[in-house]
Amino acid sequence: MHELSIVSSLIEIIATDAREKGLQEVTFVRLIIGALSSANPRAIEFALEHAKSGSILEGASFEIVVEEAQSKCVNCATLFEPQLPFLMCPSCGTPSSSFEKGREIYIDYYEGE
Amino acid sequence: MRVYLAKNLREANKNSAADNRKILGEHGVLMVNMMGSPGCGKTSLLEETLKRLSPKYRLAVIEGDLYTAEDAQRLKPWTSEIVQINTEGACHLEANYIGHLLTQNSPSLLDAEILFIENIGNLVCPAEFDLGEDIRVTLLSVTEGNDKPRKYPLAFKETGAILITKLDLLDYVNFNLERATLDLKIINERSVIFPLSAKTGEGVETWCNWLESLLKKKRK
Repeated sequence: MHELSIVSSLIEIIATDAREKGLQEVTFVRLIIGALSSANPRAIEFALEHAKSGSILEGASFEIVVEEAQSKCVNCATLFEPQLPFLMCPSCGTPSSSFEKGREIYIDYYEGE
Repeated sequence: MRVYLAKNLREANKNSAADNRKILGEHGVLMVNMMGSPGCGKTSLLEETLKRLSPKYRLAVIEGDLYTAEDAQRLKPWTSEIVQINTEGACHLEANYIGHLLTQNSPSLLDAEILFIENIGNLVCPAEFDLGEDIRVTLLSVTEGNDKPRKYPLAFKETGAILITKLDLLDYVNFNLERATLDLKIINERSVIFPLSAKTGEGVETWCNWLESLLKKKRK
């Protein structure tokens, strides 16, 4: 259910930026969702379709790209695609690595006129 | 016109969390964010914790639930500084709710030495939202089964302490404490693990002592 708060934040950020730049409408948004961000791309899409109405993004289309997760081994610094739950390093077998990529959700760019 | 933003959508929450952390730091308040499934024993443990710590310290609680003020009522005997948040459907608390309480609605929360937040019962979403806490703790009750850390690893990975609760029921349920502890250590090697029972009191003292040591470190 927290997809709705993510989407509200997206609309607010883009609307503010577009207004500052004097744009009349936003036509396209490219959104990156980390594979381990705990946000569901389909739920985000659904929430966007509802939340955009009445805003400067009303006519916008959206591209949602899922970014692969990446971990860095705490022991040998190998970069690898983490497999939950244990995030075991494929090179030295150390568990409990940190995430480098794939936990965030961010706006890559938007287009407007 | 194309505008590159590279803007993190959780940035607003992160900023509010940083603001909260600063205010709490200025007032020397230790904020503890408690997370876990519905029914894992967060409120029962809080009752026992407040009972033990309230004679020594000023305590406050922010209770998060979808509906009702039942938990706030349960904790009233131990402190008068309790705020109940009803999210009416939202699955987690966000930093701006907490910030609003600290700066606008309930600034007396900042008179406390320890401020507990009982997050919404949920093993997924609360882990994604930093509230500005000093320490995050995740509860796992033995009745939930020892597969839960493997199934919901992020709630256990990004936390400072893991409390294995309802230890008094261990003989009646299919929970392998050794296996759970091992899994938890692999998922999060930095976290401390406290097995305990709010009902019998087993392990609660150790948990309270640990909180006291965090408070002392913060107020030094």
